[in-house]
Amino acid sequence: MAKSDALGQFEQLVLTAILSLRDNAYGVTIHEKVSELARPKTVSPGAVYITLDRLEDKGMLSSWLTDPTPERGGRAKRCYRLEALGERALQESAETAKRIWETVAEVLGSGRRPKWNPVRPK
Amino acid sequence: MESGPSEVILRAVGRLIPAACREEVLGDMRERCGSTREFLGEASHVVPLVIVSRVRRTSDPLLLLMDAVMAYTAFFTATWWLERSVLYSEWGLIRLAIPVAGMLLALVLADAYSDPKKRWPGRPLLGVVLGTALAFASQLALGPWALPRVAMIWGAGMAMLLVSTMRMMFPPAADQAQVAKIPAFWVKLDAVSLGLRRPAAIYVLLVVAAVVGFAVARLWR
Repeated sequence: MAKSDALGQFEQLVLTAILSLRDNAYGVTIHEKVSELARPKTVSPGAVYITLDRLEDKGMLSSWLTDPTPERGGRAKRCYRLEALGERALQESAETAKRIWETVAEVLGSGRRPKWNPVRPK
Repeated sequence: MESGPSEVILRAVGRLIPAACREEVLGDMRERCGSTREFLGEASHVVPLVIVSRVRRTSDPLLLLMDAVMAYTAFFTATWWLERSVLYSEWGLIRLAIPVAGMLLALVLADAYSDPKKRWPGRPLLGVVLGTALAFASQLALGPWALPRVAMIWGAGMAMLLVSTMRMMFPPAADQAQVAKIPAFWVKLDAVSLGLRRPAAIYVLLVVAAVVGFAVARLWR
């Protein structure tokens, strides 16, 4: 994967949110979903906008404006969709995370909570 | 009972958001916030980040560097001919950079706030005119650090001419025709990948740098 295609943790969260929201992915819902995924950390909506712009510039997302709605004061929504490049990058990130988890589970034992158990010097 | 932020506040905050993303950002904030107080709280941390993101998308460091070199050359030349003693004074060359910095700030903000949907022939010059105004405004606040008025007037005139010529030759990404609403950032990458603008821009920079270097060398001989 080229360096520019590598995803940061926050970018992974935003792409995951868009993937799970399907056709209803716009600023408000993406921010809600990212906040849910990033718990207990709080997420600023501004950070979500910056990341959406950056991912769109990288070609991982595409966006379009919908019709205006009354609950938004007659303003349109910008909806986002994952592009093939974004899907691939997210899949690779998920595979890396899976490998990390498998290694952690192997060392600490799967199915139980990781415990702090240092080896004491004799 | 309050049903949402007041329309006056919405419009005022909307003016601060760059035109290219005003519709969706303002709509999202309206949907998220139930009161004017909540809306203002959210706007205080969302709007600066939206502006930064738009500046990142619309500004090209190489073009800005060219604009800076052109404007500095204009002020340097005007001071050289009209008030040469300023150049020999302590911090003389730094004093020349202050109006240039004001001009660049205005250019960056004008690019970020330009509306991609509205196109008119004078748009490339708007940033230059605002930049010149900000350069003059910066002089009012400087007191003893301000450039002599005659050097400032001639320098600003030449800077306007050079920078607007430069921006017509190498238009910023925000001013180029956008096909199928693609982001300005892609237009910027596309123009660079064509291999047309970047080498030409570098040649112009080299020539101007050589002229300025020659003048500075003569000054201290």
